[in-house]
Amino acid sequence: MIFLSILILIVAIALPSVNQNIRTILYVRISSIIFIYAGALAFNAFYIQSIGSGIGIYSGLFQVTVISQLLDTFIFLIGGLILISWPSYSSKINVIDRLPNVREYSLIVLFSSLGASLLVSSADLISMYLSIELQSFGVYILSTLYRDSESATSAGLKYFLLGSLSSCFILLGSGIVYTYSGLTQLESIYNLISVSENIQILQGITFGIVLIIVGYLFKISAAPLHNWAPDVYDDSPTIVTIWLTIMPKISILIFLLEIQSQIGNSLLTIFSLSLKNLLLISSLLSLLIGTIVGLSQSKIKRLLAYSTISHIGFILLALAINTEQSIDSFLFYIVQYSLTNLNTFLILIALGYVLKNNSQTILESFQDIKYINELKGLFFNHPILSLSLTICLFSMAGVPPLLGFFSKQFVLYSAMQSEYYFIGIIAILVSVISASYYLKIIKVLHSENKEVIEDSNDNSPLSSLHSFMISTLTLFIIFFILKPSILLNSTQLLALSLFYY
Amino acid sequence: MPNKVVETPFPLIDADPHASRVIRYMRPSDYAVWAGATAAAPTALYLWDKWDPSKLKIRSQLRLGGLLGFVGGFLLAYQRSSFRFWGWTENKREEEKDFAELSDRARRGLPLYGESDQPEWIQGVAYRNSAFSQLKFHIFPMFNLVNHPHHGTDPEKYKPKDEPTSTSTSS
Repeated sequence: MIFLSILILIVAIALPSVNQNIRTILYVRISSIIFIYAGALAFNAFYIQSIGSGIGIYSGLFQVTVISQLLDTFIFLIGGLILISWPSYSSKINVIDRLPNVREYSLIVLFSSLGASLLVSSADLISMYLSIELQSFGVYILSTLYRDSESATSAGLKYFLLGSLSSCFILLGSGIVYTYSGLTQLESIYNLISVSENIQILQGITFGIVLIIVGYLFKISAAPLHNWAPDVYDDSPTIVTIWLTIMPKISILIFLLEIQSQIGNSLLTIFSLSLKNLLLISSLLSLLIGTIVGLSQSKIKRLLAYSTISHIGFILLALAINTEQSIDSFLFYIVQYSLTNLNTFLILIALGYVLKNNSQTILESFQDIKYINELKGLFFNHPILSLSLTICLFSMAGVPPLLGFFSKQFVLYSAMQSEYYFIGIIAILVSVISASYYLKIIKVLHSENKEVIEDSNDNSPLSSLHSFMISTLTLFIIFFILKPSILLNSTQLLALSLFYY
Repeated sequence: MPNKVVETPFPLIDADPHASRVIRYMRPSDYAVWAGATAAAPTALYLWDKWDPSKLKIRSQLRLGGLLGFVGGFLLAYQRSSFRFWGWTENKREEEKDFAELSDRARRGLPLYGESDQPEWIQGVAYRNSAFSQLKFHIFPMFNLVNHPHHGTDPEKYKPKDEPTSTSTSS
């Protein structure tokens, strides 16, 4: 669906008769619908019993598993929801005219999602590398979406150069694995390392896999390879940051799960431990850096970038433990993180529309909320949006009974059960500390602003669907506790499928 | 690539059915899904514009949406029909139809799954590329357009019971 849609959209954009009649916003809406269709197709092929441990497709270059099918559905659903955040129409100032006229935006997000979905199903070093590059190229271009903006261009260049470096690690790791094993298919590599007693081969393969994982940790901005993330997230337009913080991370984390679950169980203990320790060190550093450095931030997107790094710490902790329960919590955390982050950024974009739309000056590019102080006194002008943001931030901080609390609880519970006491206690401490920077935003939101903010509801480009999604996601975060079984059972089923098939 | 033995709740009819068979064996419900999906995309776009007016002309957008809905609907219907061939969903009607069609071909001495002028190894490549590709239709459509002999079933069952088992079964 995605591939055919890309072809159709390329033709539509190339044909002047079609292209002149369809504006950027309409292409974005079409892409959103395409994502919903792709999600429906992925879900239609979700047969737990028949798929079992997985089915190789395309000559074994890719594999379909229960996890890949359900996560594909989730990725496309999130992709479709992200696109809803594009503005529709403003009566006073046409925001659409202020947005860069990039019709290719729809194509780029489709290309990036194509790579994401392929990466989730990759079963070969070559298909893995091509998939990650396809996904990455899309997001590099996305971050330079505002070509006239100096900060967006510099963010894009920085992202491209550092992303290329991480791709080099992945390529080097793949080369080393091939050198020592003569294999590119992951299944064959797992089989080789589970039966081989040659230490040299095992060392070589382990080293290659460690390099591949380092490359991926770089791409998901896990500490200590996180330095690019705050700069890139802050300098990119929020409408792009929302994509960068969610979409590439889901697919990479699921691919890491595949590697960790297979290789972690196949390798000799000593080599398996080296992978586990790599993830644990990265997790510990992500927890500490994401929390402590986040405390000193005054820009909202930089703060959220550090918050993301801290969340990655929790996710990597669950991944490193690699038990049924931890994988369950890993999947649940990814779903929770995606939904909460999506809602937070949808609200930030909405606030950008309602706050910055009053400006009568002609702006070079569409303005985003940059500083936390810009949110001052917002509760008194936009109480519903402010309350929604507050709920999201409370959820991220892990305040019960919101969705974020359960995800942190599950990770910590599995850590304690597997006797990872030290990192478990660190995670609890940083969770408490990180609550302070979320509370800082909430305090600013609810403190009275002496400057009068002109009410801009009449000409707000905030669309009804955008508001509807914010309210739905906020209600889901609040009322998850009333009916948690669907989500919890789904993640548990997926985790069990990894261990018992 | 080793052949994957898939546990299915219903009998396997064809592990990698030819695209023409998949389309021919579609049920009215598949056509309804196809039509519904075709209509759903422009309807969704129209309702979206009603709810959040873009104040732009949307006729071309609706046409493009209709085309994409048609493609999505076709893939959905193709998937549903394929799952019946694999025995993943209820397939009594297809089983009988397949038995009647292939028994007839066997009786007439024709290759069961059609003839192919491709060498055998190319047919194997085609099979390995298209087998189970319906599971990834949300990304990439890879239809089986080759009359290869790899279909995961025993061709003997189609041969007439009263005749010797010398009938050609595949290309």
